[in-house]
Amino acid sequence: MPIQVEHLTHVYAPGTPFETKALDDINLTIEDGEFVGLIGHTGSGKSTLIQHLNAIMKPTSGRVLVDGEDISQGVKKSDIRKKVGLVFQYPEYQLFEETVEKDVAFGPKNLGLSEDEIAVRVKEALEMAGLEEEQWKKSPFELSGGQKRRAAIAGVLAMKPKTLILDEPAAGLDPKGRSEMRRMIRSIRASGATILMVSHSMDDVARMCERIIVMNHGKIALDGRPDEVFSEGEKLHEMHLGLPAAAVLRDRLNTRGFQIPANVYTIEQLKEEILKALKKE
Amino acid sequence: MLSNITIGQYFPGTSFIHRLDPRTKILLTVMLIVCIFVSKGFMGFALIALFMLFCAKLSRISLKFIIRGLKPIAFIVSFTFILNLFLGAGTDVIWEWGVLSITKQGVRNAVYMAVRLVLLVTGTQLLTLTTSPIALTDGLERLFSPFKKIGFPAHELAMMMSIALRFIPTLIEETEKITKAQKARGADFESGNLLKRAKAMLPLLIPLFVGSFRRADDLAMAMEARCYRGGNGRTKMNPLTFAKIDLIAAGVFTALFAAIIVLNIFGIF
Ligand SMILES: Nc1ncnc2c1ncn2[C@@H]1O[C@H](COP(=O)(O)OP(=O)(O)OP(=O)(O)O)[C@@H](O)[C@H]1O
Ligand SMILES: [Mg+2]
Repeated sequence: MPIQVEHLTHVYAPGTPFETKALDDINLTIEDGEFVGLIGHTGSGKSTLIQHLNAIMKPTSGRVLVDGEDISQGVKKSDIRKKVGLVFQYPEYQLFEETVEKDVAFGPKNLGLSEDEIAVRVKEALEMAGLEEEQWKKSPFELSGGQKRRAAIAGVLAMKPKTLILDEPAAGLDPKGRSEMRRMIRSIRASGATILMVSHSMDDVARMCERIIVMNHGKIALDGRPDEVFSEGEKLHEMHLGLPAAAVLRDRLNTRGFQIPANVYTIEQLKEEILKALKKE
Repeated sequence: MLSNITIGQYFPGTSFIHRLDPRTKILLTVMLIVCIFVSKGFMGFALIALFMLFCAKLSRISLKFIIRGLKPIAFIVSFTFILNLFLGAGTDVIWEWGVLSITKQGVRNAVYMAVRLVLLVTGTQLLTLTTSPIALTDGLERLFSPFKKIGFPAHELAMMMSIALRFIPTLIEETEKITKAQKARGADFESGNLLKRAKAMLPLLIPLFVGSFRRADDLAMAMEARCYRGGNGRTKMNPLTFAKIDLIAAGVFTALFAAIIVLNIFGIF
């Protein structure tokens, strides 16, 4: 069942000089099995929006439906958290247990599962997160930055959410960490979960997502397939957003006389187009 | 929510009160506190309250905000009130039940104490709401600098205070963030008995401590990298200077102080 957002508005610190309207009448549906990228300039409301999707935040007005049920009305919080897993930005700062294993077990324990079931889930989650067995018994504080991040994500995976929301999972990682993170997200995806990923990297979003939502000043500015969104270079530029490297190259080549279609945005497609153009000559 | 705590929060602005030198504001707040304790009767309290209302209007801070800042002390005020009510000395008994008794003097004492507490917090709130933490510690450092000669570590204390103040919002933000993250993992901070709730705090407190140590380390490193070596010979980017408005404010406060003394001397309660 999908996640439906209806007329969602959120105002921070209402009635003070710090009042900010972070979300302004958002309408949105995320279908089962989609892999959605959420992009937008700093302060556009991405983090605020995703925190509404598993009832961590309460809407000022409007509502959020998960499996057809309004989650701010009488639904058990643990039921929602089971369905929609949320990984915050820099999740490594939430680690607290003596060992990685115990930390990952925190979520499933809170769901009231049996010891055996917890052990199975912890193992699965850690494997999916790509952490080697020798690290499972270590203190989470002894891991490297990227490993900590993956251990923290495993902590959410162990709750087996049908939908996984990630807030900038690759922020602050080095290129190797980023590519490991991409691999991990792909394998989560392969397990059949719906994924919503917030990212500042156009290349990551272009490479991984099937649908891209662009936020601007608390509203949804664009929503469509990557080729649709990345053919709107000018609009994105106005919202202080860039294009994936391949799309930038596409536009530069086009100013030099190439005629590459505007919906080309990956390196592979671009290579084909350039070869095609060169052959014609 | 934690973000509702307004005590110690700065409210940016450019009003007359905002523009006063922090030293003036600190000294005048001390004077106001003395007024509150010297005042013996309702006339005095009413005068002080009116005066504070005037200051609040002048600073353009909404009363709602100031009243919200009083909420956290509501418990202490009620507690003091009840304690004073029953422990009051005196002979004019109005009400009696076993060992408990309320006297006329007790009632008066209780009301006075409650009013004093509320005025005290409102007064200091006016100071912190209109003065940025940096200006506040700057002012304190300057006020205490004459005592450096006898070995009083004015600069170090001010630096420690400004660092502590600087990190209160960060800590609050961090607490909120970790609370949310653990809630997303199904943590329950709200139900269960006291022991269970205390235990539920661990997933919050441990990351908070770890984060604080990390931040303290980073800060020390950053200060050293910028050649910080204490206050000796350190100059200010914005040196504090008294202006005409400070003189005006001092004059007005002196008038208030005098009025309170006069009320006391003539026994107008
Ligand atoms: N706790 C808060 N209190 C008050 N205002 C807030 C709070 N959190 C966010 N805001 C404001 O709400 C708006 C949206 O913030 P949000 O964190 O959702 O943006 P974002 O798109 O996630 O940005 P980033 O890319 O920097 O993470 C911003 O203007 C921000 O200043
Ligand atoms: Mg964000």
